[in-house]
Order: sequence, then structure tokens, then C-alpha cells
Amino acid sequence: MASTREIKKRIKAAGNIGKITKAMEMVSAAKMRKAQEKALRSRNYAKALSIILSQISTAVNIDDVALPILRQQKKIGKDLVIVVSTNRGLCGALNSNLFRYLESFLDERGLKKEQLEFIGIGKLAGHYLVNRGYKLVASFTDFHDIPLADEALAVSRLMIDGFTKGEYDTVSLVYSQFINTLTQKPIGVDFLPLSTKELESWGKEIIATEDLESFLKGFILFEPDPTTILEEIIPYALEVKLYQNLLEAAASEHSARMVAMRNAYDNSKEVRHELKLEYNKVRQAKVTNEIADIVTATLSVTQS
Amino acid sequence: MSKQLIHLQVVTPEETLLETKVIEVSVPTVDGEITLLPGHINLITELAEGELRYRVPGSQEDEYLLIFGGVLSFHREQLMIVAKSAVRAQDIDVARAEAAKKEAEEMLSKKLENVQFAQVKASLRRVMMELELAKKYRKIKH
Repeated sequence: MASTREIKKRIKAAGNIGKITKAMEMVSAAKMRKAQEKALRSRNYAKALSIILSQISTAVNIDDVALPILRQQKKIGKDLVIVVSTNRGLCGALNSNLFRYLESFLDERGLKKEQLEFIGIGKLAGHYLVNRGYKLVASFTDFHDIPLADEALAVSRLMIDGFTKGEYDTVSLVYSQFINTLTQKPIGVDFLPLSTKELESWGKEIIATEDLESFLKGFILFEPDPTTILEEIIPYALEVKLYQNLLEAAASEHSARMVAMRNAYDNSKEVRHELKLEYNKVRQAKVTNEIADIVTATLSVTQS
Repeated sequence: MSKQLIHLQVVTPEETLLETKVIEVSVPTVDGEITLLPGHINLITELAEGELRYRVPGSQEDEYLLIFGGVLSFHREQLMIVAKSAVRAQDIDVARAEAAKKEAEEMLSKKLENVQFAQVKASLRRVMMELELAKKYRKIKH
């Protein structure tokens, strides 16, 4: 049986771990809330953009607009997938679920390893993709815990450039969707080519129909012309979509970490409890032994 | 004078920077600066980088904003400015901008790859614009 001193040391260690995990849990909770707030705030931007998109669609038929970003060029058999993971671990099964989903996502789409290129966001995505022998063209590992719009801009520019230059047939994104604090679900979304249907329905759910109708009434002057503005505005739309997905992935990360830390904290409490029990048992046994010693000694002295 | 006011809203991907009633707005568009007054024709146009001026009712002074490209939609006195990035004159951190300018200039003096060079140049232009506006703004306010 371990000595009391050893057990005491372990109790202390478990207590320290409990303190750290408790603190980390609280930090993650705060970060999760911040990421959610930011996502909410960027919705106004999305809303303003979709109003303008709708206004443009009253003037021109978007289907007839020949913008490279709306059309798949000739097929070249190359696709880009953006994978959003975390920079750090300690967030439960979040990343392993994500990577498992990624494989099934690729299978489902019939995308072969040789035809794929990847952009990894977060250290863990980079490591995973390289280990599996995938072609990683860019890896972003210095994003803030709660991403900035500029950071999303860098990624979206890369993907838009690649697509409009005809380097990729499609661009899609795989990330952990935030469902609630306890649930995150990996999901894949299509980015490019942008379907006109998506463009038209884009943001509809966040605008009340009456609002939109009032915005579509009356003559609108376009300077210089609707197509130019459309061309200007589509990258914004993609950027904000990507930004919102990144924020959602950040919310997922922090909520997963929060839950993992909560579990670790609960565990440390349990371990401490068990160790305390053992400590008391050992101490009691020691006391009992000593008493037994004294009693036998006394008895042997008095009886002789 | 008409009682009509323009409802001005400036949104960036990160936040709604400004939402207020104004009597007059001047914005930099790709075809030069335009001024919008209440009752303007419905308009959608592309914006350039530059300063945006607006005046709130009852004030004698303009307020300033720096915007870095975007799109404007004016519709029935609702003016939406969708900007890639924007900053209010009073929010410009002069010390930080000076530091960023110095850093960018230092980087430009070294040899850089094309992409990086363009990035640093863009950020340098941005801080220069910020500093200019901050200087102007302080002159007006003090």
C-alpha cells in the first residue's frame, strides 16, 4: 500500500489539475459567446448584401450574366477543399470527428486523392492532411481564437482567384457546425461554382419578405451598371459566408473545449474524492497498527 | 426645408459601424465623390477608397469616416453602405497607425516577393489614409 505522503501528493496534483481545467472551461465559455456574438453582428452585413443582390436581380437576369465566378470553366479534374480545424487540441473528439467526416465527404462526392488540393485552417488540419499524403496548398495556422474578417478575406481571395483562373472545378468547405453547446456536427458546404439559385435565395431567411418587397419597388439607377456591381459584390458575399462559417467553427471549438474541460474538472473531483478515501484508509490502518503494537507491548510487559 | 432625413447605415463584415439619421452624406465612388441629399433618386453604385462625410441634423460640423471600398445602395431615404472595411475618424489610433506605417516602410525597404509586396503596400496606403484623416479631424475638432 502506498504511503500517506505519496497519496497526499497525488491529491494535490488532482486538485491543481481541477483548478486549471476549471479556469480553461470558463475561458472557453467566454470565447464561445464572443464568437457567437460576432457571427450575429456580421449578419447585418449579410442582410445588406442580399438586399443589394435582390435589387440587382430586378434589373438583370443573373442567369444571363457571364461572370467567370458563376460558371464552371472547362473541366480540368481538380478540386479544392478547405478544411477548418482547430489550432490546439483539448477539445474532445471535435477534430477526429471532423477528419472522419472529411473522408466520407470525399468518398460521397467521388473525389479522388490525386485530383484534390487542400487549404488547411488550424494546425491540426495541416498535420492531418500532410500525414495522410494529401496535397496541401496553403495552411493557415495563425488565425485568432475568434477569427477576424481580414483572415477570412485572405482565404476567400485565394479560393476565388484559384477558381476564376480555372485551376479548380469546384471549391467546398468542411467545418464543424455549431448546433448547441453540447453538439457540434461536421458538415461540408459548396462554395464555388456559385449557383445563381443560391445567390438569389441567399440571405432570404434573414430578411422579412415585406422588407425586401419595399426595397424592390421603384426605379433604381445603377452606376456604372448592374453587371459591374454584381461582379464587385459576389466576392463580398462569398467572403461573409466564409467568415460566418469560420466563426461558427470557432464557436464549435470553444464549446467542445468547454465541455471537455468540464468533464476533466468533474473527473479531477472524483479522483480527489477516491484518493482522499484511500488516504484516510491508510491513515486509519496505520493508527490501528500502532495501537495494536502498544497494546501487545503493554500486555507483554504487565503479564510477565 | 424638408423634414426628410436619410437613414444612414454603414456595415462591415465585423459589425454595424454606424446607424444614424443624417441630412447630408458625401461618399467616394469609383467615378468620383457624390453627395446625397434627401429625395435623391434610388441608386446603387460601387465605392472607392476614401473618406465619407455626413452631417447629423442640428450639427454645424461634418463627421468623418474612412471606407475602403464597397457598395452603396440608396433606396427611399435608406442608405446602406456595405464596406469591406471602415473606420471612424475618432476611432483611429494614431500611435498604432504610426507604428504600422513604420513597420510597413521597413518591410518595403527589404526585398519581398510580389504577393507580399502588394500586401504590404496596400496596408501602407491604408495607414497613410488613416493618419491623414486623423490629422484633419483633429484640426477640425480642436
